[in-house]
Parts: sequence; structure tokens; C-alpha cells
Amino acid sequence: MYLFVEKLKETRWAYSRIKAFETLLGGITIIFASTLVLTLLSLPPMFGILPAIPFLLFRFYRRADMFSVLDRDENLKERIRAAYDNREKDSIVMRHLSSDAFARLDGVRFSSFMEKRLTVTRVLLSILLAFAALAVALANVQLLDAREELANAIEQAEDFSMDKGELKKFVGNLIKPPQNNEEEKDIFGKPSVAELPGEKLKLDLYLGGGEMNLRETKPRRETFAQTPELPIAAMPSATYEEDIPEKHEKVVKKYFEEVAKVSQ
Amino acid sequence: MKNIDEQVYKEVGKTFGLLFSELEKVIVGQRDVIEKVLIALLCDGHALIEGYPGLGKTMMVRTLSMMMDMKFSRIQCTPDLMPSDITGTYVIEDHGGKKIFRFEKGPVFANIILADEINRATPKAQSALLESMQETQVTAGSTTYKLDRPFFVLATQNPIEMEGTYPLPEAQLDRFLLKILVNYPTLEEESKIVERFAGEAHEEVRKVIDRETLLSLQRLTRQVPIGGDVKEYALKLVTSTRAKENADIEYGASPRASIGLVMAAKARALLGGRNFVSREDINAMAPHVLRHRIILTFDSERKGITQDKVVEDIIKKLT
Repeated sequence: MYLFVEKLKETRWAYSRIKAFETLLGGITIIFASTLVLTLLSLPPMFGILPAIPFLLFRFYRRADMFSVLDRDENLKERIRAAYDNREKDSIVMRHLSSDAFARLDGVRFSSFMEKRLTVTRVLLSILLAFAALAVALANVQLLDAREELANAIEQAEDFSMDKGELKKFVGNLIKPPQNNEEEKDIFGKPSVAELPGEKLKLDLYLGGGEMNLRETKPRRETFAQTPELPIAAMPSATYEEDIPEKHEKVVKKYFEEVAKVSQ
Repeated sequence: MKNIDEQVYKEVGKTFGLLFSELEKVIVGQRDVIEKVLIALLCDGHALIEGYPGLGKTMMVRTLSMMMDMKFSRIQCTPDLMPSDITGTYVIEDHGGKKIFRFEKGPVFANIILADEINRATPKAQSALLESMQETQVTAGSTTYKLDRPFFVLATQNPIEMEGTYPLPEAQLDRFLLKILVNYPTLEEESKIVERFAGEAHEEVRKVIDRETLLSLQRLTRQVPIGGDVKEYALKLVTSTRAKENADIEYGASPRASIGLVMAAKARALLGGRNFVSREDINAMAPHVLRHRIILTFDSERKGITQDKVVEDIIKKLT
């Protein structure tokens, strides 16, 4: 096999590694940008990874072919391609071409594959976006509440086949932060009407706090149960019972005796 | 043979440089025409030159044959030219009282043949020459005579004075690898021509390559590698001439054109000192390979559209 074939494979390997790194960097930049946007829209930042997925899939799926590594130099690319496509043939001209191809590939610097300006831009942009996302999250800055807007948009939509209430609930569950199932339940339950036959109730609703006062309209009759008369005697409300350990009794007794001597 | 080829390949640049410099001693300008003629030679093909009289076509071919140390013959085609005038004929000879027939070889038994004004010869005479071009052999009676290698026919055609001529049919034109158009020289070139040929005796050319070297160069031409994408491009170019959507073309080029285009591109690469065929080679040779193989519609001819224009449009579309 001609030597240039191995050299070409080595060159391609280096190229694919560099391009993979650039692609990952691009994906990271997209993630940070999406996270910033989502944070500003009061949406969960973890969804920022979603736009990066098709980008990464597309870039990794669209793998470079053997010769795209030499796209920048069309002349070299034609030369190497001609040599590679005829690598099974042995002739004077082919041998000359193969040594020529090897020499030229040997002169290719792998660092030239990296788009330096683009890479530096992506790195700086990623750092900037990361800090911006962090700052926005900490400062709780919001451009608009996307959840509210989305809910309103769904209410106004007319073409949905789903029941609006169910759709709203579905979307609401999707965009709300995860909570305990118990707390998600409507504690008030479905609205219902209670009827007390023959009873009239007065309902007072107060603005702001949602305070409500519900009373019967009938005059209130308060009845008291009279307790029987008992002799009035003062009784201590509580009897202090000393509960001093025996070994401490002597110490306490001695203390008070001394206090009495001093006071005399 | 391999040793000869290796030696020739090492000195290929020097050889061609010497060839051009020797030719320039006699031929002024026409560098492009000389290059195309050399390409046809390297491809072991034949060329049709179309140009007005007095442009140095005969001189060029004669000079080329002198530099290559090969047998040269010239056939002046006229309406009364017979096929035997080209291929040869049997003559009766007297050997010791016995009469025997001896085949007298015609001018076609040479290495480089100049068939001047081929469109003036009758179709019968044309076919005798064209048959030898295709088969590289001549059949006289029951005997077949192989022609010597290399065998190169340079036919010329005069675009004016078409009365009483027999234009080559398209099927016959297909046998020529290239159709080369010769134009008038520039003012400076014409001044040099007058100075050279209206003055004292001009320089003689010396032999640069021999028959073996030329055969070696022809073998090396076939060895020039071509990449898959460039080959595909050449095929696309040729097959585009057959495309129904091309409204200007009545009949497109045949597969012989594909072979010719790739071969011509290889020869051009070798002539240019390159060891691979590039897209530029294909584009440069396409007009010369295709112009005589494409038949335009009557409407296109009426509008003044040329084959070269059509080929140029196809190249632009594919690029």
C-alpha cells in the first residue's frame, strides 16, 4: 500500500477530532443561549438542552468524508483524490503521484483544521452567556411570564380538538415546576352548590384577602347552661408539692437554718 | 520497456520544453494549436484542424514530424483523389521476365500524415483514409497491411469555399479526437512571421524525440491517474449533451467522446507537468473534444449559437 494512504487516514482522524470538539463547543454555546432565553421567559432552564440536541445530531451525523479534510486547498484535494482512487494501480506516474501526495500531506499542519476565530468566539460567547444566565437567575429578572402567556394563548385557540380545560391543565403541568402530587390537587374541589333547605345565610365577601363571612340570617339565640351554686372557697389552683431527693434534703435544711441565723 | 518509460518520465518536462522551443523557431504564435496537436499525438488519436488558408497548418505538422524523427507524408485531397492514391496500389513489375504484382504502399504508410482539405476529397476517398485511421491497417485485395506505430492523421478543413466540397459526415467526424480551430495571428505575431519568412533563411529544427520516446510518452499518458469525482464530472459533461432538456442540441456526443475527453485531459496534465488530472483539464479540453460531435438544432444554428457556446453553457451549469 502506498504510504500516503496511512498519512491520509491519520490526517482525517485528527480533522474529525478537531471538528468534534468544535461541534461540542457549538452545542454548549446553544445550551447557554437557550438557558438565558428560558430564564428570561420564566421557563425551566433545563429545557435549554433541547435546541442543542438536533444541532449535535445533525453535525455528528453529517460526518466528513475522506477528502473534505482538504476542502480548503482544491488543488491538493484533487491530487489526493486522484491518488487515493488509483491506489490499487501500480505505474510510474502513480508512484510519482503517491510520493508527491505523501510529501504534501506531511506538510499539512493539523492546527490549520481548527477555525480559530470561530472557536475563540464560541468560547467567549459561552462564558458570557453562562454569566448572563446566572446573573438573570439570581436577580430574578423576567421579560415576561411565558407560562401565563402560553396559558392565555391556549385559551384563545379555537382549533384544538382537546377540551380546553384539559389542554390547559396538560400544558400547565408541563411548564410548572415539579411539585408534590398532594399539593397539586385543587383543595377546594369542584365548585358545587350547597343547599340548606329552609335556611337563609348571609354571605359577606371582602375584597383583597378573599375573606368571607357566612352567617345565618336568623337572629341568634344564645342559651346558657347554668351551673349549680357552690360554696365559695378559695382554693389554691395548684398545690406545690416538694419533690426534693433525700440526699439533698439535708443540704436544703442546713441552708435555710444558716439563712435564719444570719437574719437574726 | 519500463526502464525507458521511467527515464522518459523523469525528463518529460525537459522534453516538452525542448519541443516547444524548437517549434517556436519555425512557427510563430499558435501555441495553443501546437499544444492541442501534441495532445492528440500523446493520446494516439487524430486531429482535425479547421482554419483559413495560409495559417501555417502544413508547416506546423511538417516541423513536428521533423522534430520527432518520424516519417511524414502529405495528401492533398482533391475531388479526383482515388482511394488507392491514399492506401496504395498493386503495380506490375518485371522480375527476370516474370510479371509480378507488387503492392506499392501509399502515403498512408507513414507515422504522421497531413490530409490537406479533406472535405475536397470524395466520400469514397475519405472513407479509405478514415478506415485506416480507425483500424490502423490497410486491406488491399486479400492482404492486410498493418500500419506503423505511432500513426497520426492531421486533417485540415477550409471553412470557406464550401462549393464542390464533401463535408465529412458526423459519424466520420467522431473518429477525430480533437477539432482544433486556427485563428489569424495577432499583429505582433504577423510582424514576426513576415520578418522570419520574408527575410533570410530561417532556422532549421533539430530532432528532439524519437519514435520510441513518443511511444513511451503515449504509454505514460494512459497511466496518469484521474480521481473518481473528476471522471464523474467528465461523464456528466458529455452526457449533458444528450439531455432532452438541452433545447439547442439535436444529437449529443457518443461514449467515444467520454473516452476522448478523459484521454485528452490526461495528455494535457502530462504536458503541463502534472501527475494527476484536474477539473481544469476537463474544462479546457471539452470544447475541442465535443464541438465536432454535437449537432445543433436548426433553430439554434439560425440564431447563431455555436457548439462552443453550448459546451460553455454546460460547463457553467455543472460548475
